[in-house]
Amino acid sequence: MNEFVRECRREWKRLRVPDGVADEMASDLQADLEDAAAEGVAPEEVLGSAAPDPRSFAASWAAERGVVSQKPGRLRGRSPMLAAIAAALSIAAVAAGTAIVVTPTNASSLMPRSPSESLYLIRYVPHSNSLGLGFNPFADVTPVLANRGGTDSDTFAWILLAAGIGGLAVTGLYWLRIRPRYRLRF
Amino acid sequence: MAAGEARRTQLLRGVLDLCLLAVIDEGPAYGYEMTKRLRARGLSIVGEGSIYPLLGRLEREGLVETYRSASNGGPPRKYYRVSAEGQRALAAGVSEWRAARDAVDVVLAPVEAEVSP
Repeated sequence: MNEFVRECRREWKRLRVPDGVADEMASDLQADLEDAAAEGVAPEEVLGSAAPDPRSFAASWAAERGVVSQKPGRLRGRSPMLAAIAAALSIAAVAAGTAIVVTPTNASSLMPRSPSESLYLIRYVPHSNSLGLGFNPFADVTPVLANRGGTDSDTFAWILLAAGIGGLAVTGLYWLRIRPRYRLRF
Repeated sequence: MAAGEARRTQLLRGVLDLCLLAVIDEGPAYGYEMTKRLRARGLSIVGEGSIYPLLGRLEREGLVETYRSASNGGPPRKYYRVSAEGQRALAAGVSEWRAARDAVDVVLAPVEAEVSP
């Protein structure tokens, strides 16, 4: 089989063109190129500007015939918006996670908001006998009076992280629902 | 691509479908046979788009019909012939082309064009 036709067949296989249709197209193209060669006519006279690019030629021909499987392209038109939402949520989750990690205290904070104006923040205070862990999880729990500014950022960060993770989960479920049999093709 | 070749490509892009329908209208033909008929009428597609995707579009739009038949003792080939819808499209397209060509000729008539060798 002519190398050009062979490349076309690979592209049709990648595009999931039905085998019968691909066989017919390959057979006709092969026969035309052989006839041209027998008459001393260059392939460019048969293929035009497509001669150096069999994959584009094959894709164009299959698309114009309407025989390209829609499955690989099901994401077209939907993926940009979905990708943008997923990217925004990912950034939110990463930002929140980073904010939590780099907060001034090196301990996690529990933030049950009290109805009073003062905010009581319960923190695990690093103990001098830290057992080499950097903190002693069995140290006294010391209620610390904190102003609203510091804990608001923590609250916001946790909310952002929760929203980011929740949104990513929803996006992933939606993606799986519209693409139940997605698989990579090379 | 030189400016002249680019303009030729642009011009042909708008009428190659009509040219294909016209040569198919002479009689049913397969792909390579159409390029031979075009070349015999002075139209080479070297450097232009391939006719195969265009044939695919004509078939999809119902302007040509196809069937498979043995050709000169070789393997069965896909033959194209112009459908009734294709006949109407060809007539309308040729009319549009001639109107556009005549209008452009009027505009360009005063211009003395010299093509350098």
